[in-house]
Order: sequence, then C-alpha cells, then structure tokens
Amino acid sequence: MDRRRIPGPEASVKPIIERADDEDTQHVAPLKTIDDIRQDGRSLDKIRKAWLAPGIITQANGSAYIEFQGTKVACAVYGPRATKISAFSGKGSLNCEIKFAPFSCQKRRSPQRDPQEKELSHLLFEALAPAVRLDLLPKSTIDVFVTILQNDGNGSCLAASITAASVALADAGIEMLDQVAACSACYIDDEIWIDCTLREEEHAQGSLVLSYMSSLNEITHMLQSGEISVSGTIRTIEQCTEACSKIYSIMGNCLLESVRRKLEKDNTLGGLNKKEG
Amino acid sequence: MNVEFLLPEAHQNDDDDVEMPDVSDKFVTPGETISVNAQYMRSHGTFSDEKDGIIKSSLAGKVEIVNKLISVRTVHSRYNAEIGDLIVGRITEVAQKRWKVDINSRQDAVLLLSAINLPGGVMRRKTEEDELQMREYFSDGDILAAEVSGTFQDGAASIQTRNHKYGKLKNGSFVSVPPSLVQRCKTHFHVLSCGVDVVLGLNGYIWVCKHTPPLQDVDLEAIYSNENEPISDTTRESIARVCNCITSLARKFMIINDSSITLAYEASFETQNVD
Amino acid sequence: MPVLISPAEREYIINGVDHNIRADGRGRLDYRQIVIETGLIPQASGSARCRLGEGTDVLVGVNVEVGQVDMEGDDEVIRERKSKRGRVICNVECSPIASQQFAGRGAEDFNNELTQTLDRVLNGPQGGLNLEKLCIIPGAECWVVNIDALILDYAGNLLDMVFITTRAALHNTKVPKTIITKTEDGLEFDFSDDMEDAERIEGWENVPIAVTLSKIGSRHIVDATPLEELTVDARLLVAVNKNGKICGVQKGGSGSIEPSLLNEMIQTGGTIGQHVIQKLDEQLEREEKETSKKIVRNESVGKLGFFAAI
Repeated sequence: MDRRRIPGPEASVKPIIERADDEDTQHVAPLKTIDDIRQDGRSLDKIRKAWLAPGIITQANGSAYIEFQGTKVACAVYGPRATKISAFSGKGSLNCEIKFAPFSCQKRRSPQRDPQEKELSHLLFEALAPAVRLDLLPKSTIDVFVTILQNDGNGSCLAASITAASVALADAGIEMLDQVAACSACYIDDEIWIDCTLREEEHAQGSLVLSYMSSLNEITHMLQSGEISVSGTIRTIEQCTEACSKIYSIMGNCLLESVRRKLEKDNTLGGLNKKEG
Repeated sequence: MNVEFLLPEAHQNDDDDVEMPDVSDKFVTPGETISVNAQYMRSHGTFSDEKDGIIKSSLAGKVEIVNKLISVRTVHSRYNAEIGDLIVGRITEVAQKRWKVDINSRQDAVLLLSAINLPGGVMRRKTEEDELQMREYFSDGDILAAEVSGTFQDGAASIQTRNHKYGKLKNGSFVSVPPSLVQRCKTHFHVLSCGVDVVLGLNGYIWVCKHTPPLQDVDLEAIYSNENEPISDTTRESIARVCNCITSLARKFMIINDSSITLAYEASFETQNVD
Repeated sequence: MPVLISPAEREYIINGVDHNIRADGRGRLDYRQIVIETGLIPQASGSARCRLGEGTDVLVGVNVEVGQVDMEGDDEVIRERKSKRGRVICNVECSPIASQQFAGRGAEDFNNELTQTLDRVLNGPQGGLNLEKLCIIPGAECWVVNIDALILDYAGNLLDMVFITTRAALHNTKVPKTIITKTEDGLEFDFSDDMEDAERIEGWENVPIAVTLSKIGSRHIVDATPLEELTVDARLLVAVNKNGKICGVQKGGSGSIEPSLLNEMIQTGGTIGQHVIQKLDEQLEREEKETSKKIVRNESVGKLGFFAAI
C-alpha cells in the first residue's frame, strides 16, 4: 500500500441531495402570472427601479453610475481634448468605447474587445452624436468610456450605457441639445414587455432598444431584431418613448440635485470669505 | 417605386463589324519594339535600352506618330498636366498660403493664394488676414475650374483662377470620366441647347450645371459664396440626363466633346422609359 | 470612394431629393438596375453575385458543413430548444480591391459593423431558415450554414445588396442528404456525396432582405450613390420578409429622426421590401427556367461569372 497517497474509496456513490418541493417548482417558474405580474412584481409596461449618481469618478471630467436593479453600468467622460490627428475637421469627434467587465456575465468575457463590444460602441456613438454640440468643438475629441459591471439583459445594458453616457456628458459640462434617455423592450408571445431581465430576454422572439430626446421629440437611435408586424413595431416605439420620458425625468432630477449640492457649497464658502475679508 | 432585376449579358463582339484597321494603327504591349529606325525621337510611353536606338514601348496602347515623334497612348492613364490646360478639381487640403487640389493626377495640384481673385479689387495686395481666412475663399471639398500655369519637378501642377470664368463651381452635378476621353479644343465651357452648361476638364472631371449667362460686372463677393441659385425641375432633369449621357459615353469609351454629348442627349429621348 | 463634397453639391442634392429628381434623374424610391447571377462558384454549396448600376459588386458564397450544436443558455428549456437546431454563421468582408480605404486594417471596423448587422437579422427564427431541419443528431451534431459575403466594388447601398445576394445564394444552396443509423453506441450519421440527392435548403423563401432608407433634408430616399451618402444625416435599415413582417430595424448615422417620420420610414421600408422580394423571386425563377431549358436541350450550362459584360 502506498502510504504517501491517501486513496479514495474503491466504490463511490452519488451524494444524496434533499430536493425540497419548492426548488422543483422554481425550475419551471413562469415568467409572469395570469394577472400579467412579472417575477419581480412589475407589470409588463414598467421599467425597473433606477438608481443614478453623477460625478462618482474623480479623475474624469464627468462621470455617472446607473443601476437598473440587476444591470449596473459606470461611465466616464474625458474631454474635450485636442485631437492628435492633423486632418482638419470643422466638428469635434466623439470616441465611444463600451466594455463588459469579465465578471459581468454568466460566462466569463475575454478582456480583449470582441466584435460585439465594438459594435455596441459604434451604436453608442450613433445614439449620442445627434445630441452633442460637436460643431462648437472643432479639432477636439471627447472620449466616452463605459464599463458594464453586471449584465442583466443585453438590451438593458445598451440602454443603461446610453443613459449613463448622456448624464456623464452633462456632468462634464459639454454643451448638448438635449439629454438622451434610452430603454429596451422585448416581444414575448406577441406582447410587449418593457425593460426585460436576462431570463425574460431568453424567451423573447424579438427585442428593441430605443433612445429618445424628450424635449426635442426626436429619436436618436433605434435597434430592433426579431420578427414582428409593422403595427407591432410602431406600438412598441410608442411605449418605449413613454418609458424614455420617465427615465428622462429621473436623469433631470439627479443632475439638478448634484448641481445644486455643489453650487450651494460654493455659496457658503463665498460667505465665509466675505466674513473674514 | 421602381426595381429592376436583370440577367448578366455576355460581351458583344464588335470586331466582326469593324473593317480591318489601317496598317499604321499599331497596338503595342510593354517591351514590344516599335521602331528600329534611329531617326525617330521618343516621347511619353517609350524607352530605348540600347545605343543603336531601338525604340520599345513601356505601355499597352496605340502608337501615335506625329512628324518624327513617337508616343504611346493608353486606355486608362492618370492625367498629366500641361501648361494652359483647363481642369476641374476638388480641394483636398488647406495649407499655409496655398490649397492642395485633387485633379486625378499623380500628385495633387497646388493653388497658391496669390493665384486667385480676391474680393475688393483685382490688384489688391494680400494681407495677413487673407492667410488666416483662407477657408472663406475655398474650403475642403469645394469644386473649382482652373487653368494650369506651371508644373513642379515632382509632376505636381500649379493652377490659377485669375480669370473670371474660373473659380468655384455651383448649381450642378459632378461626373468623372477617364482623362483620355476629353480632348484639347478651343474652349472647354460649352453651352448646350437644353439650358445646361458643361465644363469639360481635361483631367476627366466634368461639371454639368444650370446655364448662367456670362456676367459683365463680376461681383467678387459672390464668386466665393456657396449658395446655389434656384433650379427648375426641367433644368434638373436635363442636368441628370446630360450626366447619364456622359457616363454612358465614357463606358463605351467614346470621345467626349459638345457634339457627342448633344447627339447622345437627343438619342436618349428615343428610349424614354422613365418619365 | 469620395470622402469630400462641396457645399454647392450638397445643396444641389438636397434640393433635388426634395423635388423628386435626383442627380442621376431617379425618383426618391427608385433603385438602379441590378444584374444577378446564381450558382457561379462550383465549390460552394450555394452562391450568387449581384451588381448594382455600374458600381457595387457583391459576391456571396454559402458553405454547409457539419459542426457542433450550440447549447449555451441559462434556462433548461432554452438549452433544450437550441440542442435541436442547426447554426448560421455570417461574415462580411470588404475586399481592398473595392476601395483603397479597405486595405490593411482600414476595413476592420466597417466589416465588423456589416457582419453584426447581417448576423442580427439572419440568426434566429426571424432569419427564415428552418434550423430544426438542419439538426442531424440532437444535442451533438448539426449542419452549420456559413454565409460569406465579399464586396468587390463600391458605389453605395452595400447592405441592401448583401441581403439581396444572400437571399439569392440561399435559394441556390443545397444541403447533402443525411442518413442516420442506430448503432449500439448511439446514433451515427453519414451523408451522401451525390449532389443529385442534395435538397434545397428549407426556408430560403422566408429569408428577409433589407431596405436602407437614407434621410436627406426632410425626405428619405432608397439606394443612395456615394455622393448622396455623404449628404445623409441619418439612415434607417429595415429588414422585411416575404409576408411583410419586420425582421430588424437599425438606425445609422449621426443624426436623429422624429418619431412620426420614423414610423413613415418603417412603413415605406416594409412596402418596398415586399416589392423587391417579389421581383427578386420572379428573376430567380426566370434564371432557373433558362438553366433547365438548357439542360433539356443538352446545351452546356455555362455561368458567365466574371466574364459578363459590365
């Protein structure tokens, strides 16, 4: 007998697991109840609770962090800075980069940028470009970096990135025509579900991501996949536009609060100086 | 709403219809001997590598003999600028006191600030302000008509727009054809009977626009404006028709001048399919 | 590929679009002439080549090969569904011969964009193909359909042409017949090399095509030339299938679109798309009849391929 190694038993048996009855039903839990209430208690047309905070990254000119329950996204804006390219351009350039953190999805993502991230970066640029006043920034570049920390729905990740980037640009003091709010939706069994989680998306026949400027009433970007009728698409666009307006007001409130806090601080300092002087 | 799908067609063999070409029509390939006669002088497209003066071709094309000068003319070639040529070009870059202009040649042509008409008088002195405000005159992407005034050693041409006929082109559409199809003639500004003006650049760039009568007093402020005049629907259609005629002539490799364009324009009415 | 345009040309094009007379005389919703030929690559399972006007040239080759089933997913129900399906892999490449800008790594981002768009529309139930039929052994082996598009010349309207050519190539694609035998180790399969036994891929007629609507000024046009593309501020790609259902919408460009105009563009895209599919199918049928006539008359069925007149 080999004393250096501890051998396992010659015959091995599968472990006995106590399967509670609840777990069995959990496996095939329905996505929604008969009254159209989803797993997390929302109705079909409600967005998830959002938490938004601008100015959290000290190094950046502007930044924002947004949470839609499971989806967590952070965005930083650097710029406007001088462009190194010598070719003349009357307008500034907007450079967007989206990256999924390796631990953000079920399966580990490579640290290298994969084709999906490159495309999402391009879509982010297309969603933001109509809103930013690039014509006031010739020969300058604005860098927008987005990191997705937790992915709970591919559509909601893109929507959250666009929303966070818009808030970060405003936080950096870059002139914009309007704030861009974005939201996602899915079609499941011919019904429109707004802001779906990863599990709900898996059962979907199609999805839509829409970004919208509320005050100007203009859609800056739209991405739809899956099969649906023309009227269905138009209905979904209307519902998403309404959801975007709600997100827009959340963005507005958060920005105003953060601006008030900082400017009020300055006022009190001014007051102090006056007293001493 | 018009969509048309077609099957591909085989090349049509025109050779059977054409008579045997003249013996003097010689077509050569690179390396082929043109002449062993030492009395000929060689020009563009030829070389001789031996002292006994055998002239060989360095291009694939047709041999042209003018008096004692042998040259080879090709199908596709980049435009070679010569002094006095009228060209149509597009601004690619704004540099110090000059503009770089794309004229379908090996190198971009150079338009010096001293070679353009400045608003405020023909003989005005150039001020420092002019250098800084160069974009107000010509900016990136602008199309202009100009004349070649000289060539640099590297092959780049130097162009000028001092004549009031030259300058920024407006009210029309741009067409590009192989340079060899546009031949040198007395004037390159043609007025067609349908109310359309055509500027045939010798470099293969052509501008088709609405007819504007030649102005007696040139308003120097207006020549650098970017605004188009209003164009009627019939003129727009004629401009589109002329553009399509020029493109078809180019595809069939026919010489482009005002008579060929007019003939093609009239012929196009016979096969009217889209109203 | 022109990258610069003068303000005068831009204004001329915008006004022309407004008056419904474009620079080459077309109306806003008119396409240029399309020459289409299928079956010109003998080594591929299916192929097609499309030429638009005197410019854009797209060549699509479809290769069907055996591969592993994709079984990723959170939910067991989803995994179960996926294990019984074949796969579709798309790839679009702009050859440097189409434009100097595509040499080296210049086209990488552009290629990626085109590939992702093609993939988004074709991969999934809206892609039309019967993926269940492409499964050989559930949970193990399936047919993988590799769609490779190569762009040989550029004169505007690339994506529309890629989709039209892909649909024609899939019409032409044949999948070898598989024979499944039950052995003691499980299921084994073999496929016959005889091309006569191969069947046309099922579901090709449901494959969607795309219509790119370019917004110029306040109007939208179809089939933009390179100069027109330089004046466009926003584009909308609408993927439509034979039944008029929308299979994908993607906005491109750095401009924004007003919601009512967006709805109008989607509806226009749907109508035009169906019209194009109808004409394309008629043409494919015509081509097939010509080919079978030639076979009956014992003439050689030579495809013109690249010898066709431009």
